[in-house]
Amino acid sequence: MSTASAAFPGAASPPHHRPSLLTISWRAITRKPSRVIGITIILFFTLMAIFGPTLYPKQLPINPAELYAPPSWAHPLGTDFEGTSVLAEIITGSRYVLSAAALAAVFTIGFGTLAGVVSGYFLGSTDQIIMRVTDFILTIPGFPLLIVLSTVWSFGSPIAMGLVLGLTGWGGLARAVRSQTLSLRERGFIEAARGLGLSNAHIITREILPNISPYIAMNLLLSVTGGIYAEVGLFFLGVIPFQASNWGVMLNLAFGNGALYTPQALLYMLSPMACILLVTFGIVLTLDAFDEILNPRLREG
Amino acid sequence: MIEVKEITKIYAATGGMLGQKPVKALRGVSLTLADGEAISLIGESGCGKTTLGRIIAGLEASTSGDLVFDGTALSTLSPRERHAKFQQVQLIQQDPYGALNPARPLGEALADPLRLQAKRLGKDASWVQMRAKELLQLVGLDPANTLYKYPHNLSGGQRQRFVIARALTVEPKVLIADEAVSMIDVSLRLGILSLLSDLRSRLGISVVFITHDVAAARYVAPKGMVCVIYRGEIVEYGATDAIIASPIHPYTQALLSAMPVLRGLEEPGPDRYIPAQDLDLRLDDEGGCLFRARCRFATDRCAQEHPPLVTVDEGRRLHSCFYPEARHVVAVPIEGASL
Repeated sequence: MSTASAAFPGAASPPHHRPSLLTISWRAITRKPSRVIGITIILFFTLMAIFGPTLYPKQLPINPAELYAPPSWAHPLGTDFEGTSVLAEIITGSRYVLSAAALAAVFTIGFGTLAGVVSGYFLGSTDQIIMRVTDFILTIPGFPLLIVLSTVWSFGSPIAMGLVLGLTGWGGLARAVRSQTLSLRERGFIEAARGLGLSNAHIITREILPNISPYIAMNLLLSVTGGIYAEVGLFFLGVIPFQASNWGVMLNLAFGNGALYTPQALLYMLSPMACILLVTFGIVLTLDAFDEILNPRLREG
Repeated sequence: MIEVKEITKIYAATGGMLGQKPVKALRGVSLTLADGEAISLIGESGCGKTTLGRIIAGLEASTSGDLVFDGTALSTLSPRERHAKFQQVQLIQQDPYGALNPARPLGEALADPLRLQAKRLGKDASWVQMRAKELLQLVGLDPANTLYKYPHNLSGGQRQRFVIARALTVEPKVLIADEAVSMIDVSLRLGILSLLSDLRSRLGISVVFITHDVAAARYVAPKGMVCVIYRGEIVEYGATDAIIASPIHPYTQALLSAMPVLRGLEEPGPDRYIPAQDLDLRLDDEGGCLFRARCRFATDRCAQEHPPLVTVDEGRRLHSCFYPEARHVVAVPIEGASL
C-alpha cells in the first residue's frame, strides 16, 4: 500500500478541472468547417424565427401594382401574386414553422425517451403495457390522423401543432431507446449501482441516459426536420385552415395561384423550399458534432 | 458472519422445443463465512462458483435454500430489509471495463454511493469529498489524478482498484472478488491481489475469492479456506495449505495438477493427473458421483451412489469421495537446480 501511494508523488498537485459543456461544444464544432457552416445556418434561422417577425407589421401590405415583381432592393426575393414581398413572408412565416418543428422534436424525444427507457429498464408488465401503446402509435398512420384532427382542432398555435406531431411520432424512437436500454442494463456498472443501493431513478437518469444521450441529441435534430416536413406538408395540402402565412401556406398559395405556369413566380415558389432545404442541410452538417460533445471517449481524440 | 444454507440454483431451460434439460448451477451448497475470514471458491468454468458469489451478493435469487446474515435468515425479511442487508456484501466484477460507466467522470461514480452513505450517517457534502479521497488513497490511486477522469483514461489495474474503492463506499463486511484479476494485465495482478489481502487485514473485511487459480487464492489468503466446487457441488473444503499439500478428492487433484510447472526448477508432483476428458455437462448427472466420468479411480459404486460430504481431520476438512486418499500432485522443487 505504502509503495503504491508513494508511486504518485504528485498527490499535492492542484485538482484538474474538467472543461464545461460550452467549451467542449465550441471545440467540437470548430474542429470541422462543415460543422461551423451547419451551426451558422441553424443560428441564422433561429434568430430569424425569434426576431424576424417583429421587423414587419402584423398584416403584410399588399400592392396590386407590383404582382410577381422581379427582385429589387425593396423586395430582394420579388413579390407574390398579391404584390407582397416574398422575403417578408419568408421571415414572418419562419416563426410558426420552426417553433412548431422544435416543439414537435422536444415532444417526440420526451415521450420516446421516457417510454423507451422505462420500458427497457423495468421490463415485465410495465414493458408490456408501454410497448403495446408504442405498437398502437406506430400503427396509426400519422398523416391521415393529422388531417382528421385538423377538422376538429385548429392548429393556430405552434404548441398544438408540435404536440400533435410529437404525440404521433415517438413510437420509433421509443423502440430504439428501449433496445439500447436493454443492452445497457446488463452491463456491469448498472449491476454495481444496484448493488450499492442506488435508486432506480438514479440509475435511469445518471447511468443509462448519459450513455444514450448522443443518440437522443441526434434524434432531436432529426425530429426537427421531420417536424418541418410534416407540418409544411399539411399546409401545402391545404387540409389545415390557416390564419397566418407560413412556409407551407406560401407553397400552397403558390401552387393554387398558378405559380407553376409563370416563370416570374419562380422565386416565390422556390424561396420556402430553399429555406426548408437550408435548415435540413444545417442540421445534417451539425449532427456529427453531437457524438463528440456527449461521448467522453471521442472528446479528447 | 454469513451462513449459506443448502443453496440450489436451477436455470430453466430456454428453447424448450429442443428438449433441453434445466441447468443445475448449484446443488445444495452450504458454507460459513466468519467475519474477517477469507474463502476461495475454486473450480473450472461453469461449476457454479460465480453463481454462488452472485447469490451471496444478492444479485441473483436462489432456487431454494437460505442465506443467514449474522443470525438473521434473509428469507424472513421484507425485500427492502433484504436489500439493505445485501449492501454489506459487495461484488468486484471480473471485467473492470464493464463495471464503470463510460459516460460519467470517476469522481461522480464515487460520490453517488457516498452521498447515500452520508445521508444515512448524517454527514455533509464535505465528508463525501474527504471520504472519496480517503478511499482512493486506500486502494493506491492518486485522488487529484483520478477524480476528474473518465474510465477510459485508466489502465485495467487502476480501474479494478477504482472498482474496489467504489465497493468500499458503503462500508461492506464482505467483498466478493469474482475472478477479479483474470482480465488484468499479468504484471498488475499481484498489486490487486495484495490490495485485497491488505484490505482484509486492515479493515477486517471478509473476502470471498472466486478463481480457478489456486496460486492466486493462496496469495490473497494464505491462512484462509478453500472450497472446491464441481458442477454445483462442494467436493472438498479445507485450509488452503492443507488442500494444496494433500488434496483428497480426485477433482481437486486434477485442478492442482493443472498448475504450470517450472520445468528445470521444479518437477511435476508424483501423483499428477490431468483428466483426458473435458467437462461434459450433457452427461447424466443423476445418482452417483458427478466426477465419475472423468475420474481414474471410479468404480461401480461411484456410478450407483452419490458420495456425501464427509468430515475428516476433526471437522477442519470436508470431502466427498468414497475412496479418499491424499495425493501429492503439486510441483516439487528440484534440489540445487538453477536456470
